[in-house]
Amino acid sequence: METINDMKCRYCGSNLGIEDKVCPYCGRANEQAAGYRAVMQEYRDEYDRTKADAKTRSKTAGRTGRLIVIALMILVIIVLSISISKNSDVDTREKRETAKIAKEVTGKKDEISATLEEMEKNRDYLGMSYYMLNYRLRGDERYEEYARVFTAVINYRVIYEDILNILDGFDGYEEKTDRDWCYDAAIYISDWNSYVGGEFWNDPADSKMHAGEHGAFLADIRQDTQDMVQVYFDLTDDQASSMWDMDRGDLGKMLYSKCRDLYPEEETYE
Amino acid sequence: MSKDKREKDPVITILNIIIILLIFVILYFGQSAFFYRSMAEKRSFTQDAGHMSYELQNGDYAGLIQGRYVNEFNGNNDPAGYHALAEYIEAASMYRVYRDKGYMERADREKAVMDSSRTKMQELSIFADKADKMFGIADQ
Repeated sequence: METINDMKCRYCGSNLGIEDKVCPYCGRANEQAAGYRAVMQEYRDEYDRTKADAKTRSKTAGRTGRLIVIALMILVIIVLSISISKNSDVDTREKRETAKIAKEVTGKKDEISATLEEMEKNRDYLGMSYYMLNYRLRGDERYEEYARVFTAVINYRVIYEDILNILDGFDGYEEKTDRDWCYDAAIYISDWNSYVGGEFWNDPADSKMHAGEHGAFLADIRQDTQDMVQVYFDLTDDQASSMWDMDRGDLGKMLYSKCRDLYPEEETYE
Repeated sequence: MSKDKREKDPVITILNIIIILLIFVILYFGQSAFFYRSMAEKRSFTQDAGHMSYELQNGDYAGLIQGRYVNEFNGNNDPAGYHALAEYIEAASMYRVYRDKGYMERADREKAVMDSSRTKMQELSIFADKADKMFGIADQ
């Protein structure tokens, strides 16, 4: 039986290759391999179609994959942007922190009350001032009774800080001078009677804010503030005791005058 | 075949460039988000050692004292040396007042605080010496 590998020309008997369309010797058509060639052509066409299709599919898949990656990356950027806008806005952050602290204060109400009581008893003026600041207690109705005590410790702290700033030559990060600190201290001293004493608020004589331990505390902090100002500005007893009733401008002038003599601004403590 | 391999789809090339650019954008946004997130979680007025060092360099002793109090209220005792220095400065400032006014019992209490905090501030004790001169108590 003749196989495809030993094909011979039916006209001249020469050997033929499977791919030969015509006999290379007599030039007649190789009809025996026509079917094979047709099948082969069909395979080739199929191969080309599949290849082209695969290329198209691969290209599409590559684009789709990358588009998905880009979409995910954009999503991540949007999430990060939301996080940034939520956390970078000072007001929003402040509101969130205030709410968080209010919740904390509610949860630790007894502990905070006990600490305030302890600080008041120990005359821990600076400690109470920062404690109040840390827990945003000023203006909290639950601590209404401490309102004047809170104002007093704030005034004390500001005056104390003004003195420290004069002594260490600190400019408050905004080129403030000793004159600024002296006049600032004068404001808080001359406002004392109004804001701590309660004149400004029309506090009744029997106000809880001035009674009992609060009253004793207010008297002590006033005296200690006076002593502090007297020592650091080298005031006479008369000057120190009358500073509360002085006009803030006159007091500022007096403090600055003392300050220039006592703490020349060029002096450093190296 | 090798020619096919070399053929690049221009759309894919553009998408690759976009992906690379987006990686940089994500890195930038990620860094910012992390920064603001850590700021948001941090309690106002609390200070780390770096901040306290900055205050000290600027002579902001009042800021140092505030930092110590607020840190302690929030359970942060990490900048221990700076806390000790802040405690020293506060005690020294009060010591001067009580000494000059003749309130010796209170002055002694502040002196005890000064002595105790000096032992905790290590290399920062040079600032305590400076504070002594500043408060006029260097001869004590």
